[in-house]
Order: sequence, then structure tokens, then C-alpha cells
Amino acid sequence: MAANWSDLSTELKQNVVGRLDLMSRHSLRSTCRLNRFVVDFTEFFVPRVRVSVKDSEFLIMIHTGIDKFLRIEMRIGSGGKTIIRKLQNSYHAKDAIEKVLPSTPRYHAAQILCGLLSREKTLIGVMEWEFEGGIDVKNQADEQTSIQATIAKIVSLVNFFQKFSGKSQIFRANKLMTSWNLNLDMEACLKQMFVQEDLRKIERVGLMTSTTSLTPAASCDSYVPLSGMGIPCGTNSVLHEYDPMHWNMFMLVSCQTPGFGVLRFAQFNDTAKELWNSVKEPIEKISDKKYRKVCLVGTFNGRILMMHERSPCGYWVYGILEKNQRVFEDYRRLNFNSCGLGWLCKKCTDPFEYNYYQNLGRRVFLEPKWSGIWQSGVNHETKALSDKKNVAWKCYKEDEKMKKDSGENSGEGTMVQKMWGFGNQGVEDISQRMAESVKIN
Amino acid sequence: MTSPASSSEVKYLIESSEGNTFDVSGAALRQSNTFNAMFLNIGADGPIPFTDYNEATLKKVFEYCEHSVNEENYSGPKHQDDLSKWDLNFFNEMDQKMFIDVINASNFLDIERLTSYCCERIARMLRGKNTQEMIKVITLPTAEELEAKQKVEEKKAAAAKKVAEKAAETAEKTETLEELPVQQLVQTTRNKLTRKYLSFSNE
Repeated sequence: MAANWSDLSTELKQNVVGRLDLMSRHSLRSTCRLNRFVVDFTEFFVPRVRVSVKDSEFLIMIHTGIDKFLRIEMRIGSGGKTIIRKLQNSYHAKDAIEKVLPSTPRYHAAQILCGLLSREKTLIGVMEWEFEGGIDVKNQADEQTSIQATIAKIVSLVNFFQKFSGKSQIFRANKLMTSWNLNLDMEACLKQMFVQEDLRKIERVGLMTSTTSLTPAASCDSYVPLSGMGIPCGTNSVLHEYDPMHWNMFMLVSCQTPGFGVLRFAQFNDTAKELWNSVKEPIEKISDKKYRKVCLVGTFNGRILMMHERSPCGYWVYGILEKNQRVFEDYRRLNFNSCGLGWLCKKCTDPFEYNYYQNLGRRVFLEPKWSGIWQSGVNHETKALSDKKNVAWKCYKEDEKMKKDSGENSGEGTMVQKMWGFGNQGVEDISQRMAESVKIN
Repeated sequence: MTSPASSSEVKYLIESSEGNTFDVSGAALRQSNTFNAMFLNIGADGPIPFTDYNEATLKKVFEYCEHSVNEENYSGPKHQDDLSKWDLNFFNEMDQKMFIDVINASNFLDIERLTSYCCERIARMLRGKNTQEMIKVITLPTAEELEAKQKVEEKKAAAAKKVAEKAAETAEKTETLEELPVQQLVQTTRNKLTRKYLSFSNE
């Protein structure tokens, strides 16, 4: 190949670049001006990017496929320098590379995110932003202060990113996802960083784990097709165990949302059957394999139309306030053939999306420090919470053992190619280097 | 040369950049979308000119096409480990120049499978490399090499300047030497004429 890369046409170069991973592209981009143009004008899709912000610490997760991710953790070390820890497809410290960088974590986070992902042809599927604080407070009295502090933090971060990149709209993403503790104002601030033409939805996700299961059993969502933000918005509570109290939660969501609520069940199990059978209305056949029962329920906010639907994929219930019925009908007209189960359906969802949500519960113990998505509130360590963690950990171990026994994860015959900057060098002893860098200054 | 009949027995003549011709089966040639678009329906009178590529390259490309005629429908590039022994031999026995020629020819002929395999092969060489390693692979000069090259060029320029200056000096000297006799001649002629004029005036 030597001396002949330049003999390839731009079309062929782009074909090659299209097969490269994120870091290799970045590396090739830095070789010369011509290659930079070739890389910049080649389409690239990153399914999911997650940014978690905690005090001055940052976590950047760039997911490039199922179980394929780059994990970059940044924290402040002694002397105000940043200690950066990089991992590829692993959460274990033994696989990490640690380095000391001269500036603050915020600066380096901006450098990484803008440098790698802020490109005209780079599209992010979902960009997830997690902040601590917001409405997640111990005492209700502190809520306003906490919200204001979080808003200030987000505004400052967004301004910094915009100044750093020299653009007001930094990222191209199809969906902005936030954690349950944020509110609309915070989401509006974050939305400013995105190219408006590409952004199709804003979703707020919360996770409720269980003591018995690690896989999602149900999901309680709200969906607002026409929100004040100008794009569809929604909330999503991932339930790892269905409890009758979740029905009340679903009713409340359906009553309060300007759109409609949906309760989805991953399987048509006994609980779901019981719920389906409890509706004493005639069954309607709405398409080849879809059946429906409709009933009206009175609430404090008016009457709600409960639409129970079943298909071979599963079972779900729409809760629509009578005054919002038109909103739902408009939505339904556009999405009539789509599966009502959403990301819970293995058959109809994109495999990456399905896998991501199935493993969301593992985050609680794989990254205990960064599990702000957990709706129980990570800041409030209780016995119940640690019990859940223990159970989750036990389930995880069992799962891993089963995978190992079945040879699924044996790694035989496959070799993971390390990306540039994420080579397997083990944890370095950086204490000496930190001391040296402090001395120099 | 041949009719556009779809029988695999049909042979087409291909002309290379050297002007040489060789025949390729219709079945192999039909893997080229360029050929399909240009000749399949109307047929070709005489050899088909692919004169941008030499004979060796074209033969290599069509060797691949002949081999993959009976393979199942193409479904995206395979993993390196999934390539057959024949495929691996095919790629390994090519030198780098030939490889690049083959990929360019394959791209021109729009043979999707071969182009895809070749690009995947290049991508494999580049994957996981840092900028410096990548520069070595694609052989771009590094900053140091550029600096060294610049220094050499500066030295060369300085040397050339010196030579030019010397040459200019020599030329100047030659010019004065050449000019002297002319001036002398003019002077002598003038003197002679003056003397003649004076002698006339005296007469």
C-alpha cells in the first residue's frame, strides 16, 4: 500500500474511511489536509453518546455498536490537573489507561466531544446528558435551590462548549435524552447545542430496578407529539418489575401530560393477562394481528380513555385524556403500523437500541458512581438500595456464568482490535507523574 | 465482436492500455456494472477498450470475476477469517502497486464485491493506528522528514545560487574581453578616419 494511498480516488478513500472506527478516522484525519477533507465529508453514524457530569467530573461514553464502546472518565487530580481514564469495551480498572492532562476536566471534555463528534457529516443517534442535582433532592424544601444550581451549571457548560467549538449548534443528533431529575428548562438549554433540523425527540428517562430481575419488565411513558419545545417530547420510566402501584403512576402520568401515557409490558405474562381480562369491554380487531379493548375511566383531571392493545409482540395500554384525544389520533395516524412496544420489542426494535435498554439496569452496579438515571436517587443511599445492588450484582454474576458455560463470551476465535488511544496497557502508576508535574509548576 | 446473448459460453475481447487483447467470459464480465450499463444490451463490435488499465491488472481483475462466478450472491464484505483460501491467496500474491491498480480498475468497472474486499483490506491496515503509524502506512512525510527535505532543498538552492553567481561573474569577464577588441577597433578606425580627414584637409 505504501506510497499509493494518494493513487486512490476520493470515492475509494471514502469507501475505506466508511469502514473505519471513530478513532481511526480521527487519526487519519490528522495526517494531512486532504485526508481531513476526505474524513470530514464521509458520513458517520454513532448510535449513542452519553455524557455524565458530576461536580467537576465527566464521563463520556461513546457507543459504536452492541457491547462496543469507548469510555472516558475525567476527574480533577492534585494541582488542578485532569486525570483521564480511558477504557474500550470494558468497565474494569485493570483494562484502563490513565493519563494526566494539563487543563480542567471541562476543557478536556469539550475538546474530546467537539473534536470527535462535532462534524457536519457525523450524526449521533441518541445523545444522553446526565447531571446530578435537579429535582433529585432529599428535602422538598431544597428543590428550587437545587434546580437553580443545576440550570446555572448547564447554562455555563453549554456556553463553554459553544465558545470552545465556535458554533452555537455543536452536535447533530436525532434524540436528546436526559435523566429523570432534569426539567424542561434544563432540556431547553441543552437543546441549544444541537442542530435543530436533525433533532427529532427529547426524552427523559428514569430507571426503577428490582430485587428479582435485571431485564426490563415494563415501561411507563408519556409522549407529547407537539410540545412547547417545537419537537416531540416524552418521559420514560423503565420498570424492572411490575408492581400494582405502577398502574397508579401510569394513571397520574396520563392525567398530567399534555399528550398521552403508555404502559408497555415486555411479555404477556400473568400480570398482563390479569390486567387485560379485568377490562370487561368487547374485543375489537384493529388489524391482522392487533386486538383492542377500550374503556373510559374518571379521574380528578377529567375522563381518560384507556386503550388496551395486544399483538404477538406483546401488550400495551394507552391512557389518553378526552381533551387530548385529537393529539393521540394524529399521532396514531402516522404510527399505526409501528409496534406499540417500542424498545421493549426484540423483533421490531433496532438491535442496538433493544440491547441498550435491556442492559440499562446493569449500569447501577457496573458504574455505581454514574447511575444518575436510577430513579430511586443515587444520592440517597439506603438499605433497600444496597439490597437492590446486591441482588443486581448476584444476577449479573449468574448471567455471566451462564454466558461462559454456553461459550457465548469465551472470546475464542475473536480478537478485539484496540482503538487508537485505548490500547491495553493496564493502569499506570500516575502518582509519581502527578508529583512530577506539580513540581514542574 | 460478440452477441449480447446471455449464455455463459459467450466470450468478449478486452483491450488493455498496451493495445493487447484477451478474452473474458460473459458471466465474469457481467459482474461489472460498468460493462452491464454500457455493453450488455447493445453488444460490442470488436474489442471492448479498457485502455486506462494494463493487461496484467485487467487479467487479475477478471481472474477474480471468473472465480466468483459460481459463488453465492454477494452479501457485504466478509470478515478476514471468512475469506476462502483462494481469496486470501489472490490478495496475498499481489504486490502493493498491483493491489492499487486492481482496486482502481475494480472501482472503474464497478465490481462491487472486489472493490469492497479491497477497501476492507486497506481499512484493516489503517484500523487502530495512531497518526504517526498511519502516516507510515500511507507514507506521507512526517514533520521531521519535511524539515530535513526543506533543509536539503535550501542547501541545493544555495549551491545552485553560488553556481549561478559564479557563472554570472565568468560571463561578465567574457563580455569585457569580447568587448575590448571591438572598442579598440572602433577607436582605431576613428583615429584612422580622423587622420585621413586631416590629410585631406591639408591637401
